[in-house]
Amino acid sequence: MEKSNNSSEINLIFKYAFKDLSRNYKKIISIIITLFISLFILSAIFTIEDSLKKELNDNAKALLGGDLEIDYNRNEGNLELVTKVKEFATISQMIEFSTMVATINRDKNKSLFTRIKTVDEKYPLYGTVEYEPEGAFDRMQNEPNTVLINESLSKTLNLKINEQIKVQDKLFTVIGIVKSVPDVSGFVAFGDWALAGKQTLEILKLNGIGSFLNYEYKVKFNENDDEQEIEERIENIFKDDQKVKLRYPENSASGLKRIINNFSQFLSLVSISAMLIAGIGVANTLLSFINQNNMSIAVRKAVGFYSGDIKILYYLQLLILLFVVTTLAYGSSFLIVPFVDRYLSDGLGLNVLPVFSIINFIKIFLIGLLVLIIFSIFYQYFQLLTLLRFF
Amino acid sequence: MSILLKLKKVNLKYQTGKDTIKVLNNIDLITKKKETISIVGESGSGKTSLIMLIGGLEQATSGKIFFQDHEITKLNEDEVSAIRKKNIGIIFQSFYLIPNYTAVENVALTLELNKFKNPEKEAKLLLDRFGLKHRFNNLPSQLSGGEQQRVAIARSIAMKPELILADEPTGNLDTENSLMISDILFNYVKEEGSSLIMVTHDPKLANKAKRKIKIKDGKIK
Repeated sequence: MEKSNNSSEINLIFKYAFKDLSRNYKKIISIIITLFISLFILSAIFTIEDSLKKELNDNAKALLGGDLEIDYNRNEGNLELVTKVKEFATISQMIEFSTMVATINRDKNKSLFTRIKTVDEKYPLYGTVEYEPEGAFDRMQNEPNTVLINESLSKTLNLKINEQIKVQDKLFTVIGIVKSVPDVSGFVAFGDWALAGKQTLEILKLNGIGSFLNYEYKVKFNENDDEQEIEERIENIFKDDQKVKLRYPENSASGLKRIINNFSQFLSLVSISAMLIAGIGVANTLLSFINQNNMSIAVRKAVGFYSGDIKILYYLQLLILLFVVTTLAYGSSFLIVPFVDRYLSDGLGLNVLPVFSIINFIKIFLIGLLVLIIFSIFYQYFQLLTLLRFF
Repeated sequence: MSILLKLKKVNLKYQTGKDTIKVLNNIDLITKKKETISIVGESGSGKTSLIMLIGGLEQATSGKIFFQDHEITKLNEDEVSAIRKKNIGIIFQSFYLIPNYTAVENVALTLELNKFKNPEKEAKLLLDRFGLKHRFNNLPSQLSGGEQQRVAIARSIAMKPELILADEPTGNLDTENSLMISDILFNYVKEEGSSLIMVTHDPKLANKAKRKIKIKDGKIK
């Protein structure tokens, strides 16, 4: 007796699988649409997540605000040690605090809890601050009682440029609107915030105790220095300081990454749930697909096809279909990224581009396969068996 | 003439819930090579089931079926398929052509399965022989009943099988087409020396066969 699975028979099965699919596309259009929608949502989530993460990694230094960050959190820190670092690197000091900001001279004044970041003239060490009008950032550094507010704060309190606000009983003038700052990882990415010059702390008479100030020193290495060597040098300087926390570019945007991870996991869960529900529809469509093809199954059996080959032919068609739909869905997901870049990352100052990942493609294919296995293959197997037994 | 087919005490039963339906009852039959046989009987008497058993498309509940030297009741499904692929051509009343394949592709299917070098060319020669040159690339839905049955016959004889099984080959055709199909079938078996076992309700067609078998209530009378 002949062996059923020699290479020519496999070629024949492939040939007929492609031929049957191309001739039956009208019958399987509903399967294609259902699978495509489910896999497209999943692909879009994976692609956006990867694209955002790549952008975050590519801009790690800008997001951190330096080659290294010396974070003293709620205390000013050991300035002697910081001064030692200044001998071989550039340091920009920034202090953040949260306070109430209120409008004045209105019928009904409004106030808002706002995060204020005071920066020195070296800020930013990497990237750029986008603001308007021109020159506002330099004015903020040189003129006391001036602030730049972000767009969200401007909208919430309906503040205009040159309007005065009250910060802890002191009057400040809004001299510009900040569109984005590069170091969003250590600072707030969303919500209401403002930038102010370093003199603001003296004006507000804030000190470390009870003011909940957050002290950070961003470090930029000299161009020709060996990064690893400088990092080790700084680590040595601070090795006995228990209060300091050194952060590196690879750990930058960890908060953002966590948000992206959580969000994408949530969306993936929703998408997979949707796919499982859609799977019932896919199963019914496949069942009707088999019933419509019972003639072909009978003919193949009658002319001498092996039952196993007929089953393989059917499952191969499903796999080809899944592969094509996965490719289409994954490819189409790249079209979503420019929208994300436009609407989601404007505030973060990121430039998100689509990233191809073979692992993501395989993941999406396998999830699609899982749905087909759960809802279709086992279910349809018995239908096929019945048909094959009948003829 | 040597023996082509031998059935020994073949039974076929179906179980529907608690009921057992006896379709074929202790069938004994011997056919020789190049023999033409017609099987007649009332609807539901078991004629089609007998053809399906011989073609290996049904499994006997008990008994033995021999095709040439093979006891097909002992073989597994794939082994029976291998015998059918090369030695048995089956013609159905409802033609059973693959709806999305052209006439040529339907015939070439058998040839391709048997690893013919140029299956489409061979298929065209066969269809041409049956007057279907102008229908090579038509789908079954674009063919008349007679044309569809001619394509089905071309497919079943493509491998020059030892045995042709025909289940009411003219059952769905008008008188003119029935005559044409029966002529094609009987001329072919005469020319090629194949055997023919044919189920039919048409007495004229049945009388064309050298041997006539009557089945009643699952038994050969």
